[in-house]
Amino acid sequence: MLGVKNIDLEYIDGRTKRTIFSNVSFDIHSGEFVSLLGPSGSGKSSLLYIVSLLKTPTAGEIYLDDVMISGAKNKNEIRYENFGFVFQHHFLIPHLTVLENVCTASYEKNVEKQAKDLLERLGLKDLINQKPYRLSGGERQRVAIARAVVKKPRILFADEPTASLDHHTAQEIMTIFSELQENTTVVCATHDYGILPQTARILRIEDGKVVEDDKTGGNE
Amino acid sequence: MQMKNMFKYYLSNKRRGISLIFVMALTVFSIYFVTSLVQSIFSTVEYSNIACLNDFSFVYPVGGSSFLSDETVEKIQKDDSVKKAYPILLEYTVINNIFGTTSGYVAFMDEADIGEIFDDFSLTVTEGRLPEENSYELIMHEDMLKNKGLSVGDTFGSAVDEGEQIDGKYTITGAFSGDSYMAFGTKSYRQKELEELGLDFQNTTFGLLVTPKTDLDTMNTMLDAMSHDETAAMTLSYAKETLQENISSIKFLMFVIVIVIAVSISAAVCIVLETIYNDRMEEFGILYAIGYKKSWLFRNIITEIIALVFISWILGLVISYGFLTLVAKSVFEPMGQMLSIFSIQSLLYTIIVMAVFVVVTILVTILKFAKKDLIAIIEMR
Repeated sequence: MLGVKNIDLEYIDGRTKRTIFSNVSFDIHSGEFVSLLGPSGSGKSSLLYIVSLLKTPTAGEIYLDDVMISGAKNKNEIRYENFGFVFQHHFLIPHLTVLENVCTASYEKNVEKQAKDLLERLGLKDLINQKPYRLSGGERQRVAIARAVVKKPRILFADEPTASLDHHTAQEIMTIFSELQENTTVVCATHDYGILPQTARILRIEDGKVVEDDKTGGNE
Repeated sequence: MQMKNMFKYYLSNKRRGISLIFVMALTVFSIYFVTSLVQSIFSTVEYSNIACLNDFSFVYPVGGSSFLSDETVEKIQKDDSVKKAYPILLEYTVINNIFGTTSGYVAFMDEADIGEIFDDFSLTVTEGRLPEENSYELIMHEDMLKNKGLSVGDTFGSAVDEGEQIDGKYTITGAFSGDSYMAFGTKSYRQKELEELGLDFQNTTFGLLVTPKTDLDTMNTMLDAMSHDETAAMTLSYAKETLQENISSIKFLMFVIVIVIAVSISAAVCIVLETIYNDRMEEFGILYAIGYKKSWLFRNIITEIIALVFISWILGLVISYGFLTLVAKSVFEPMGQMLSIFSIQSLLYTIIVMAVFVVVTILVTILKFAKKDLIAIIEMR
């Protein structure tokens, strides 16, 4: 489904050329839960951003269904049509209600009904007319997830989605991701092995390379 | 994302939105109000100096000469375009406006001639009567009376009011309505002085009030061409031209002031808008990440700015209308003057200001926004 071929990422730091990672290749299949696991500074977030077309690599290609998308001019459209995003910070728009925030994900006029159904599923039915400042950290992240999946993306990219949450809330979020995995491929960058679902495929990143591709999953 | 969400930021941050709108509306109001007041000066001058010239013209001596030559008088009287040339002695009286004074005409002529002028140009006595022959009496246009704060039966002149331009003391016998904003009398104190100097007033022409036979323009073309070192014609075209020359520098100055104000206020508005859009970078970052194009975001920003400016413009005009109505009723009407509440020129000035706001603020905001790496915001670098 998603092919990553020979990705390099370098940048110039003053007079020094720093290599974040080089010659990284892997494939992601439909329905997988893929975790990019590694310590801080390992490049997992950068790799996630490259794969999701938010960032341009120094070299290499990204394929979606065997069509090269890394050089496409319409990256915004590709992201809109195929991808959903959850970040470490929720990035909810403060002057919009919970429902309005979720609806920002789609141009479609009928997205409101789908948004309400999704928010109910996520236990946020009573908060749809609240502004984000009234919500807890976990509730905000659940709204961010609702926004990311309301238009049923093919792939959900999550960058450290639980980093600012307590362990219990983090587990809740991961449970939601596992449930979503039925219909959506999930690619999650994290440093916390302990919260990953059992069925997760782990790509361990160290020193700019994928050192392990473990399809046997994480912990419950 | 529905367009209706566009203004939610300003609804949620009312203080910022209101202060922005208030600053811009105040600018619109200031410009509209001040330019309308300045326009009123031009209107007053036009009314007092030019209105009567829509019906007839004056010819008067210049260059040290006190009277017109017989040759000039005959030439004018016999011209095909002239219906009649009435001998007059032309003087001036002070007309007040809120910024100072200008002059209005007072024509001294025979009582019978005054009657003919009134008949020919539909001037109607609304109070009192015409002045009697050879008396120090005047009949005055009702707006002129109002401007001077006088009534029928009052006296006026420099002997009564030191600030008055016209010498002597005259009794106001009547008021009239019509297009000719001026006063008519039968005997002037200057005539008395000249007679005491031995001048034969009956056989000397000190000036003419010239009426057209068919159309005013043809007659005025003749009179303008006839002007020379000793004789001048006060025609509609000449008066308008002179007025335009006198006010053109004021108008240019006003235009420059408007532009300077517009640019200065735009700079202030830009700073506030820049702060607002900087605060919203996370919003734009996440929308970009989701898949909204930068061009879509730009369009929304531009639409927000245009809408804010438009709302401010309308509000500024409404405030201007209210204030001008108040000023017209309380200041101008008692002076018998007009203040035009709806002025195309003032409206155009406000449109120029709003256009400058829009262009400057959009350019600055979009240029700054275009350079932003929205993904860096998401990465929280």
